[in-house]
Amino acid sequence: MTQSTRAFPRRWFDATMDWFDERIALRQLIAASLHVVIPRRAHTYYLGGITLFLFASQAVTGILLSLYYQPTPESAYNSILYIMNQVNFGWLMRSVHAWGANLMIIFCVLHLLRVAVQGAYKKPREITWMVGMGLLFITLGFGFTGYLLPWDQRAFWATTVGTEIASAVPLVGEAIRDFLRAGADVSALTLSRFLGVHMLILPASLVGLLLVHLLIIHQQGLADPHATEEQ
Amino acid sequence: MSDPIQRDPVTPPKQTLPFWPHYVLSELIAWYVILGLLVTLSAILPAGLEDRANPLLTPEHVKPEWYFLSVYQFLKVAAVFSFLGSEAPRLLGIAIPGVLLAMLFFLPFLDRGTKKPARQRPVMLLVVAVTLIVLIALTLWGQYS
Amino acid sequence: MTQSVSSLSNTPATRRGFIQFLLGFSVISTVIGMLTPVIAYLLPKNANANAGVPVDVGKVETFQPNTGTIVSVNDKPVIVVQSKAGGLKAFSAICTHLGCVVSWDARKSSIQCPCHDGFFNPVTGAVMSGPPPKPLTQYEVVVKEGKVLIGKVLG
Ligand code: HEM
Ligand code: HEM
Ligand code: FES
Repeated sequence: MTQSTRAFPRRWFDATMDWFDERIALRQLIAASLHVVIPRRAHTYYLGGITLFLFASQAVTGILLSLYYQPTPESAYNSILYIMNQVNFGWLMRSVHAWGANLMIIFCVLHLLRVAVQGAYKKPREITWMVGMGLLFITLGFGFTGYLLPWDQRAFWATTVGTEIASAVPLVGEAIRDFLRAGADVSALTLSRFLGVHMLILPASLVGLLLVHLLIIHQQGLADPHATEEQ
Repeated sequence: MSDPIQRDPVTPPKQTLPFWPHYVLSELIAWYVILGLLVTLSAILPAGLEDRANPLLTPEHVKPEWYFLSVYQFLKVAAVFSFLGSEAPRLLGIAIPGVLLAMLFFLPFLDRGTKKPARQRPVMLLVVAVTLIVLIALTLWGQYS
Repeated sequence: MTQSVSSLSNTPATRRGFIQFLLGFSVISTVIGMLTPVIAYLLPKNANANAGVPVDVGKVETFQPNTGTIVSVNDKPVIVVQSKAGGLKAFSAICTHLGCVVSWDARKSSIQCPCHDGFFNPVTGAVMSGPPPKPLTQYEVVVKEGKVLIGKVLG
């Protein structure tokens, strides 16, 4: 009796899988992704995976926020007020995005520390490490550009002093600062520039590098933290 | 199906576990916990909003985000290098963090020793600990000054 | 029928089935718990929150005889008509045919829709000719201290 009810969704599922299998060898694809082994004593503390999850959460809440956000100095602030006070669960989406940003940076750094302490960056994982550094810079870039978007006093002045740091670079410092601001001061142009970077350039770069990061990890398997290299 | 892929030629692990479902399920539980943390934090402390930006009025205590505070504070602290010349604080304030970041980027090529368990790498542990303490101290200093 | 019902109620009887039931239940409730805020978030808010409160659209003198002026009331176009036959009237300026915004035809002294040549009566809003199926919705007009106020929709 139990068997007959269980068989029902099961058979339906199998039939769907068969359909895809015939066309794109789906089961083989899934097996190739999951049918790997990890060292019994690997301790990732799930830090890389948690960073990945937080990025997914940022992408979902960020895209939802962009549906109400209006990127001009005149209306950005009011659109945030509208999201916080009028839109159903708008306060939740924005708060999850703001907290997620901080947590993503924290977990990314913890992940880096775990890799550093375990020496998991050593041969043959040098590329994974350097791609990871790229991911860290991109994540920090997300935080820097996102912070301006609410266009409140904190956002405006944090961006003013933040971009000012660049001008300490010898010779080209001021050029870099003006490039970041799209002008001599933080203005409407800065807002457009930061939004474009935050919502198009950085997400595309992060996804690209992340694919490389994960593909290499899949190819090599995780490092065994207790293994000693044999001479 | 095909044999499990295992391609670390340098330090092949002796004992292994299947990635699925063992690791994947633990990972999902970790995600679940983080989701709970996110929603809880958001409910207790929702994102705030200050007054509308006013380019003509600088508020008191302007600071960058906490994750840039250590570098920002270091730039201020670099004033001690003024004995090396009037331009030295500005140059070193940006050059030192830059060089340290570049070293971090190329860490696999700087630390070329054989791979050993963490407990047998006291120098690395010391470097990590000192770096962390300095970064946290600079951040706190920046926050409360 | 009977078979599936009894087997459903039997499921939790075995421990394995019970755990699977709990697991499935938690997964489904988590997914619902995540989708509910997202869907609610996407639903538009009712923009007519302050509909009915009279809106000031300008001084009486701006509405000269034999003119029809388009004004914005709560972000919606309204035509304020000053005709010899009926005095000051206000109608929704959204054509009942396909939603174009109507305008004033001074030669014919009536409300005209530019899209498919629909004509409306400037006193009642009734269709005089053309494709529109229904008369224009009429609004209450109040003149107070020399100002024209547009109020609620007249039934
Ligand atoms: C596809 C990805 C993303 C999109 C489409 C997106 C979009 C947005 C939008 C529209 C805002 C303005 C709303 C607001 O200020 O609350 C925003 C703010 C912000 N974003 Fe993102 N974002 C994405 C990813 C990220 C990531 C990965 C991070 C973090 C590292 C991040 C950090 C921030 C921060 C710190 C703010 C300011 C939050 C605040 O108001 O206090 N974003 N984002
Ligand atoms: C957006 C940021 C990042 C994401 C989403 C990410 C994701 C991941 C994931 C899912 C893994 C698998 C193992 C684990 O969960 O720990 C991993 C491994 C690894 N990551 Fe990252 N990572 C990020 C940033 C970094 C950074 C900043 C570094 C270092 C500079 C780094 C270096 C590595 C290395 C070397 C491995 C292989 C470790 C091993 O084999 O044990 N990653 N990463
Ligand atoms: S839309 Fe007005 S007549 Fe067709």
